[in-house]
Amino acid sequence: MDTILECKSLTKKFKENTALNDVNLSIGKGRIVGLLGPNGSGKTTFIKIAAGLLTPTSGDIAIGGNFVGIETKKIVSYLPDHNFLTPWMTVEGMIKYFEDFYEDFSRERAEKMLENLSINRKSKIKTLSKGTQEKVALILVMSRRAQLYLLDEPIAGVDPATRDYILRTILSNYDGDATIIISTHLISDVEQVLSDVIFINNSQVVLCDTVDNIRDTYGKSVDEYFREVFRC
Amino acid sequence: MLRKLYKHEFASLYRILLPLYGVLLGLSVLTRFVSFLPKGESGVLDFWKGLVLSLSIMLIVSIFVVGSVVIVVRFYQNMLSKQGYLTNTLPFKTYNHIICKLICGVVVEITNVIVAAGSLLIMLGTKKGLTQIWNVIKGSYIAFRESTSTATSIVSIIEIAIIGVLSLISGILMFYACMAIGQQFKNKILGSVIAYFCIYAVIQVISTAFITTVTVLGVGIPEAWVENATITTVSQGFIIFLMFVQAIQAVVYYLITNYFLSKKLNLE
Repeated sequence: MDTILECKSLTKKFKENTALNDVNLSIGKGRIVGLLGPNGSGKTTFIKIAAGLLTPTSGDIAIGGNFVGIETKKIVSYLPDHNFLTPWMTVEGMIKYFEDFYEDFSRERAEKMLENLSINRKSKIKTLSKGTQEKVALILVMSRRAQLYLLDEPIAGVDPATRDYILRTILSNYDGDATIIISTHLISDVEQVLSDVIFINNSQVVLCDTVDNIRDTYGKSVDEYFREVFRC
Repeated sequence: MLRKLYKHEFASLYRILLPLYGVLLGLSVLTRFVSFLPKGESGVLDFWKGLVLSLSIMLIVSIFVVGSVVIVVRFYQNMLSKQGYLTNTLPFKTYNHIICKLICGVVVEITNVIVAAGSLLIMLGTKKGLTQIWNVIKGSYIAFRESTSTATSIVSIIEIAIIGVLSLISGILMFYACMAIGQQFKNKILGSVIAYFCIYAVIQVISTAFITTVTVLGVGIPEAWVENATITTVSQGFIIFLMFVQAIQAVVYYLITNYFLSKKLNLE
């Protein structure tokens, strides 16, 4: 299996709290991976480290054979769980911004998605509703022909119809050999699109397997199995 | 690609300042225009003349205030708030962002000086007035040159200009360093303010201790230099010392900012 992301003994500590503890992972190319776990389990910390926003306390993480840095940022497309858009800019301005800094950005893709959603490119970001801003952010991130997409809670806080659109957008806008890591706790919504899942709890990876294996081994859906593992 | 980083930075900073420059220059022209109007008997015209002039002066002051605020707010929003999620994942090193923001900030401050000078010239610049200003500058230079040599006075002027730019750089970097430290706290703005006062206090303590040691105790000054000291050598020594202090401060603030943003970024 060709690997896109590999981490060894990855640990991240914040003062007294350990957000990630000795995480070892290997994620292959062309997979859609669900990073699943309860709130505060370390999902966002893992994604932030992979995106280059946090530095690990110890251990290594490599993406596409390089340690996190400029080279990995060129091939990673990251959707944070916060609205990163510049309020005073227009949608067109944000497209130009992405076009200027990411060589793999496809304007054609972005324009097509904006048209499908009837989002006016001349609109200022601050005049758009929260939901529309989230859609614009997703469109920008998915318009890159990246090798690894890191999507942190892409469907949290949106209505079910938008959720479907987002999942369709994700599926129809990535190249076959690219990998997508989706962090979420809304498992039933994403289960249909996942090829692998990683369960993360109390800062540690407790399971890393394919969706098919989980269904075959435990005779349950990922959602049902998750509920069993993380029962309070 | 680095050029595009500068393009977006300038666009963001001048987005607010360019309209302000336009208003200031327009108001300066208006001030000049009303100054040609005859003196009114009722005093109403004089009131309006005074008002337009006061507004122009207030606007000159405000472009410096707004300019500094825009530089600080831009850094905070673009690097440390939600926009930081995008900025810090662009394919650049952290120092690329810091240096880009610093250079653009310095250019903005220099533009402010040029626009303010231009505005004053439009408002008050008569042939007679300009000749007087020129004579004052020329007179000062001649007096300065007579106390030293021509070469020394030219070097001193260049050195003073360098000190001005260096203090601008260290001033901007000090704000960056305060924000970089402040983002470690839960309340980032309060954290930045506390960091500012702490850094300010440290600088005061160090400079007081240093000046006391050198001037009162005379530590570090060779006796031969003291014996042969003239006004020129003392002033030259002081200028070089100031340059050195500003440069050291700028380097320290830069290192603090770069460390916290690359190793301790906290965007929550």
